[in-house]
This record gives sequence, C-alpha cells and structure tokens, in this order.
Amino acid sequence: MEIDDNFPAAIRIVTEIQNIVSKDPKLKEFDLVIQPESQNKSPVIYIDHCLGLESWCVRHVYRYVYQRLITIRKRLKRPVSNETITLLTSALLLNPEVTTFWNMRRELVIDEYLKPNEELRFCAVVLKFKPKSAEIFNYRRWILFHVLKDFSSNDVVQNELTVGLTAANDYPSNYNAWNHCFCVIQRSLDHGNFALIAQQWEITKVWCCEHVSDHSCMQYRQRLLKYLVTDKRCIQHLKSCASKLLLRFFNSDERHKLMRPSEDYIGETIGVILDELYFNEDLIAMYQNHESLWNHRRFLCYLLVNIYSTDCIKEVLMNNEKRVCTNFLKGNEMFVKKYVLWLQTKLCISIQLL
Amino acid sequence: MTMETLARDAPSSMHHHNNSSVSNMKHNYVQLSKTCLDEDAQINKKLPKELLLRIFSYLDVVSLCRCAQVSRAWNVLALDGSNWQKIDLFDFQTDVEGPVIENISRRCGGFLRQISLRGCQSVGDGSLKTLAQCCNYIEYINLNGCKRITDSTSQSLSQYCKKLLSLDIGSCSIVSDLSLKAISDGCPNLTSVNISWCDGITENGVEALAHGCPKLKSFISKGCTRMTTRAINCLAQHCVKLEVINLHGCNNIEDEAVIKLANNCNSLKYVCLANCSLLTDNCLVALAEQCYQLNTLEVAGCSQFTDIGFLALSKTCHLMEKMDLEECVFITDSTLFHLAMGCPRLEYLSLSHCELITDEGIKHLSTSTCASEHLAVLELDNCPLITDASFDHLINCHNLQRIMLYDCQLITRNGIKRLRTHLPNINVHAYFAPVTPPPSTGNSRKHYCRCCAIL
Repeated sequence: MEIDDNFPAAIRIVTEIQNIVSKDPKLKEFDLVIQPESQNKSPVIYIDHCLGLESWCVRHVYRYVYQRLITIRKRLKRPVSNETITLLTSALLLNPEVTTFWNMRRELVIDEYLKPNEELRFCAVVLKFKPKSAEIFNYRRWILFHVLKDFSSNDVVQNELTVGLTAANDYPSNYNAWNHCFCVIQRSLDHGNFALIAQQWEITKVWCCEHVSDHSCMQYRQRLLKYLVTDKRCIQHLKSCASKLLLRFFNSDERHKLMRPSEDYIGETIGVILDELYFNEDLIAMYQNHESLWNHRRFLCYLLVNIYSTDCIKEVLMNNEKRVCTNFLKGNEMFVKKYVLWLQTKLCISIQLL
Repeated sequence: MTMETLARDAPSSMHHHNNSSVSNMKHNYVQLSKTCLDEDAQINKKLPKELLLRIFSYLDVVSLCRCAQVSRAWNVLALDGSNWQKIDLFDFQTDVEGPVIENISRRCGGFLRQISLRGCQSVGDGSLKTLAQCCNYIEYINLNGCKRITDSTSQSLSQYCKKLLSLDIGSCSIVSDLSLKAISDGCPNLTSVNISWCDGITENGVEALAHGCPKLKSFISKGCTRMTTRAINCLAQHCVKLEVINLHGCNNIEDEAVIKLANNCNSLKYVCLANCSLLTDNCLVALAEQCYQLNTLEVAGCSQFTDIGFLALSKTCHLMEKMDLEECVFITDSTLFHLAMGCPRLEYLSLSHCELITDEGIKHLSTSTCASEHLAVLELDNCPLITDASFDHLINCHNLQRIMLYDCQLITRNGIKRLRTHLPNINVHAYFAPVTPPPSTGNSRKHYCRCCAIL
C-alpha cells in the first residue's frame, strides 16, 4: 500500500505500456528516453511503432512493479491474471534478467492467459532493448520447443533467424543470439530442412565481412561448417566452385593423389573449407590485428587436417600457411607467432618464418 | 485440502486404502481418536448439537471446511445443509471441477439460497444441472466468467429454480438468446440480471426477458454490442420498476431508447451510458424531466453531450452523487457552475479529457456546498487549461481525498505542495516523481535483487 501512495502514477504508466504492447502487433522496439526532470505529462512515448519511457520514472516504476510482483509470487495476494500480465510486461521490458518474472509468464502461457505467438513478438521487442540477455532467448526457445513445437513451416524458422541476426547486429559478439540461431537450425534439421545450413552459410559470410572481430559469428560459422563437411545432405544445397579452388590449392600431382573418382564428395567438402580459408586470408589482408580471424584460421586448418588425414594435405597446408604467415607477419606479429606455435604443437606442421 | 472435504461423498471413504503399514497405523489412530474425541470430547459434551449447528451457521465456507476435518461428529454437523445457504467460492477457490459442485448441491439441497461460482472456469452444464435439480430454492446465482456454460444451464435453472431473483452470466460468451428466453419463461420473479460481454445475445433475447420478467430492477449489459434501440424500448415498456441500468459500450443505442427509459422507469437511480456515442442532449433532458431519484450517471465517452443537457439535469436531479463525464469534450465551465448549484450531494466527479474546463469552472465548483461537504474524488486528468490557481479554490473542499491531475501540464510541483499543506490527507495523482525519494541508494539496493542495481 505504501508504494501506491508514494507514486500513484506507476499503475497508470504500466497500464499504458501494456495497452500499447498488446494493441500494436507491429511494435518494433522499446528504449529509455533520457529525461532527468519529471514533468506532469505521461512519460510513455509512442511514435511510429516505437515505445519509449522517460528515464526519470524508471526507478519508481520498477520499484513498484517489482514489489507488487514479489507479493504476488509469494502468494501474499490473490493473483489476478490481467494485473499480473500488466506488471510483468513493464518489469521485463525494464529488466529482462529476472528469471522469476519469465517463469511467471511461462505459467501464464501454460494456463492459456497469454498466447505463444504474441509472446514471441513481445520477446523480440525486449530483445531490441537488451539484445544480449540470455533469459529472453531461453524463454523464446521454451515457447518454440515446448509450446509451439511446430517446425514444419519455414516462416517460423526464418523469423527466428531474423530475430537472432537483429540481436547480433545490435550487440557486438552476441554469443547468445548466435547460439539461439544454431539451436533453431539444429531443430529444423530434425525436420529435414537441410537447405537452411547452406543458406545461413552464405548470409553470415557477408555479415562476417562487416564484423571482423565478432568471434561469436565466426564460431557460429564453425558450427555450420562442421555440419556441411559431415553431412552430405547439407552440402548439396551449396553452390560450390570446388574444382577451381582445388586447382588453386593443390598442384596437379597432389590432386591426382587425392582425387579418386568415387570421392568427389570429399573434394566438395575440402572445397568448402578451402573457400573459407581463402576468404579468411582476404579478411586478414584487409584488416590487421584481429584475433578472431586468426582463431578462425586455426579451426579451419584443424578441420582440414582432421577430415582428410594424409601427409599430402599437411604438406600442402604447410606451404600455403608459410606463404600466408610470411605475407602478413608485418602488422600481425603477435598473432602470427602464436599461430605458428599452435600449428607446430597441435598439428605438427612446422613453419620457418623468414 | 479443504476442497477435498467438499469433494468427498461421505467422510468414511477417507480410510479405505490400508494396504501399507503406515495407513494401517493411521487407520488405528483414527479409530482411537474417534472414540476419544467424537462423543466423549469435552466440547461435545458441553455443547449440544443444536448449539454447535447454530454456531456453525455463522461461519464462512473456509472455516466450515476446516471444522469438518476436526472429527466425524463435527464433519456431519459442519457439512449439514443448513449451514450452506450462502456459498461464494470466488474468495476461496475457483479452480473447482464439476464433482465438487455436484457434491455441494447434494449436501445443500433445498437450503441453498445464494451461490456464487464467479470465475470457476471448469464448471460445465452437467454439474449445474445437478445443482438446479437439487437446490430448487436458489434465489441468487452468480456464474460470471464460467465460460464453459451454454444455454442448457439457463434451461435447467428455468426448469427447476422458479424462485430465482438474481442471475449473473457475465462473460459467458457461448450463451445466446435461448438462455434469456428460457429464464423469462421459468423465472418470473427475476429482479436482477447481468449479461455483460455475452456476444451471443441480441435484441430478441432481451425482448423475451422484458416480457417474462416484469419485476426487473437491475439490468446490466456491458459490452453487448448487438443491443439495439428496440430492445431497450421493450425493456422500458415492460419493466417499469427498473432502478439500475448499465449499457456501457452498447454503441448502437440511440436517443429514443433512453428517452423511453426515462419516461417509463421513473425510479431509475443508476444509469450508465458510457461509450454510447450516438446519444445527444435529448437523453439528458428526458432523464432530467422524469427521473428525479437519479444518483449515479456515467456517461464517459458520450461526446455529443453539451452544457444544455447538464444544465437540465442539475435543475431537477438534486440527489446526484456520482458523475463520470470523461471525454464529454464539449462541456465548459458553465456545466460546472450548474452542477455546483444543483447537485449538493456530489461526491465523485470525473472530468477527464474535458479540455474546455478552466480554473473558473473549478472556482464555481469549489465554492458550492457540495464541494465543502461531500466532494471526495475529483478527476481532472488531461484538462490542459487547469493551472495552479485552481488549488486556491480547491482548498475549500475539506472532504477531498483524491484528485487526478495527470497530463495537466500547467500544474507545477509547487502548486501540489501548497495544496498538500492545506489538505494533508489528499492523494494527488500526477506524473511527478515521488516527493520523498526512496531511502538513500546504498541501503535500498540491498532490498532489490542483484539485477536492479543495473537500473
């Protein structure tokens, strides 16, 4: 009661927010608007499907919703579903890190007070405010995997990947977002959607060019690559130019040793890895001193050696890496040295730097 | 736990499974305690059954269920039908299933007069049929929010509960006109009905009701968008004793309906026409001419009403206590002037979004008798012309408890502070941050969860 008397406007503000969230299916984002002084006008700003809250009231509103929700949670007060939803909406918009609040929402979804599809939309809005929050992604996955359970339609999957990519765009090295994308891809592979991997492989390639130090994206690509090289059903959707790359990497002798007619699939997988290896080289040439690029390169070499473990490939790789390391030593000194050391200890490829 | 007491058919069924040693022990213990407690217990010796029964008759459902678990003798007494004349499960437990209702009905039988199953969503037609069959003397039944019930429930009620006085089937979205037809056939004494948010009900149902239940005093149909002028006309013609009518959101209603209501039902006390946007001043004039006993008028969103209507009203309806004029955008200070003169008992006045109201109007209001003695709640949110000068007049309203000032941008923090010095107990609603900030940050953070520190 004490809180109500202290700031009676809180209830009005949270109701206004709830109205906007529930009535506008196109709501894009939520953010705080810096306004330290309070005026006697509504701090809720709503323009062009974007929702804003003036910063002066955040602390009072959050205090109010937090205390009310905790009373409800402790069952000190009889829960009324509508009121709880209103409070939860504001609480989670302001602070999506509280698992208890998400759990309360989960209960409301189970009791069918909240619709799963609207919840996905709400999550997307919260993600615009806090793109890296793991709780939001957890909740989203819970809705997808335990409530909707429907991965047959491509729209659902594409929507998830778009949301993940948006979050990745909004926050650097957003591991949670990429991880979410990968979970969705894994699920849709179970439903036979093999084209997805190839599609994501192409899309993220562009993305990587623009975010060279984002190791989370690289890691996502590594996980995709693992699928591509181990599952034939995935790689067949990729437009490959394997032969040209093989030509560039191996001389004709080595090629003959490698290529037996029955193993063109192996040729294709090596083609993908080589493609990525050259792409990585281009990026290293363009952007100096990015640890993520060198780490990615380590993974590619490791994969290459482990997929096709013959001495022949090690030899070719050694020559190639020697060239790369020598070319880029200037400007990347520390990373090159570490890289050479790593090649030697883990893959037994020794390179003498000039 | 307590609901299980209700759900059980007979108290003895409790100790049937003694397949393990623990339950054997329990069984022995219960037998032992039975001989110790039941007949020979001190309280049962001192108090004869009649007295115990009398005491139980004052208890509510929760306490009765607790008493029923004390001993076998008490179980019989506490669950005696005579104690169960009024049942309200809403404050107790709403997630009850059909069998509970069926057991209640068997236990209560003819004793049951009032039952409220508000919000019991899982209750269906079958159990309510049993209820109607067992308890023929129900006078008051509340089924608000029992979303699974259909017309069949109303038919059972109509068939078995002829004495029904009050029926609430608000938010039961499946029921249709057939329900009202059945009720009008079987329950001629009905005085109060609530059919809010029943989308299936049309003018035909209401007409049948009006014909069959002439004693109707209260008719509540919020959000029935299919309600028409013809239905209300019919109601006005046959149910002349109407005192309470709520047509919130019945936006097809026209002047003619309200005029007919005013002319026929002169004892109207409560009228809600909120969001009936087709209505004009003619309604208010008609109400003013015929219904002198009016004490509550809610006309939020009736944006065609002007000063003329309220002038007429304030000349005759001197008993007015509550007026909600939200979004009657045409009214000016003149309305306030007349209300101040004509309605000395006004306690609650809402002028939200009445954008033409100025300090002058507040001055008139504050100097009247209603203001100084009765006015408790005044809502002025979104009245952009109100300034701090209003507070100089409002300090005369000694009874004022709550004032809403959201979005009145000419109001300042200092103005509110001044008002508070004169009226220390007033509750001011505005968007200003609390005057006394929560205790210093260092201490208060500890009460929050770890994440709140981020904010």
